Amino acid sequence: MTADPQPGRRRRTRLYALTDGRTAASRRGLTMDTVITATADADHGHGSLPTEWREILTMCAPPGGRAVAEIAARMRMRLTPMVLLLGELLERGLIRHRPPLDASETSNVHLLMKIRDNLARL
Amino acid sequence: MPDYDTAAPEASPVKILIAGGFGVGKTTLVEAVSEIDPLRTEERLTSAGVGVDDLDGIEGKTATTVAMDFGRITLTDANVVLYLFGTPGQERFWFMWDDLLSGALGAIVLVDTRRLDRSFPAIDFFESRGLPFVVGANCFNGEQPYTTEEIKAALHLRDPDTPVLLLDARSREDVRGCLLSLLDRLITQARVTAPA
Repeated sequence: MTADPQPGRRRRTRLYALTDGRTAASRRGLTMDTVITATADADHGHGSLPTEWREILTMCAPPGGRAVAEIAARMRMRLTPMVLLLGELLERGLIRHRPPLDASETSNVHLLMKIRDNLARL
Repeated sequence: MPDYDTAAPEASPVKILIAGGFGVGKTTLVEAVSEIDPLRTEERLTSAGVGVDDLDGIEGKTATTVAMDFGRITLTDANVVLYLFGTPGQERFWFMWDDLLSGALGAIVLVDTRRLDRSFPAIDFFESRGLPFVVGANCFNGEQPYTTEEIKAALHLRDPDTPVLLLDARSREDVRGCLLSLLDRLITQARVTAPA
């Protein structure tokens, strides 16, 4: 067993560095289609936050917000590390999350008709 | 205490999956209707389960990186943001990925009639999981030698009412037609399940 240093590979920021050492505890409820919005609290003290965090908060400015998958893609991170990182931001109250509609909502005829009508006008 | 905001409620995310074999035009289809250039997201899946840390440099574990291209459509009147996720080509890993199906409204299975077999895994998967879908037969070079009936028969669809549409994945109008067909199917199904 040799541990090749792989000199050609770009060094990546390790996950624990981005998430302050936390892992699985934070990831509950954040799926790839969950929408993340920065909170008002995030406006203060931005300067002291890590660069990656600031980039995410800027990207997810209210009212729109961005889906987890979109943030991951734009930050060039895989989904799982991004979910962990977002879990950290969530715990610190810097972001809010809006889960995708559940089955009872997505089987609602009125909502489906609204989606259909809206799509038809695109 | 709920907060009653005077502002319009934030749009809720919903997703539709775009499945089909490699090279069938999934990303092209997403691009045709998305309000943003398609983005790519990746996930690392391993035989030990999903959600593990990076395994770079560790040999002997079955791990693969799956990629999905996706786009979005903001539907202001319906107050939803519709995400269209192109599913990764390695169907054998889908079952390990709960996030993929959970909360999906339905799917479009894109097929290339020259390589029909490549769409079987997606169809089998959605049929077994009960996710409603429609089939879009991509007409490469504007041509489609088969009729929708012939395609339907060749696909051995479990539900004979599954719509099969001919489309050009580059055409916004065609793709929209396919999405509308899926929505019609969902509406019909919702009416049956919960009559008003």
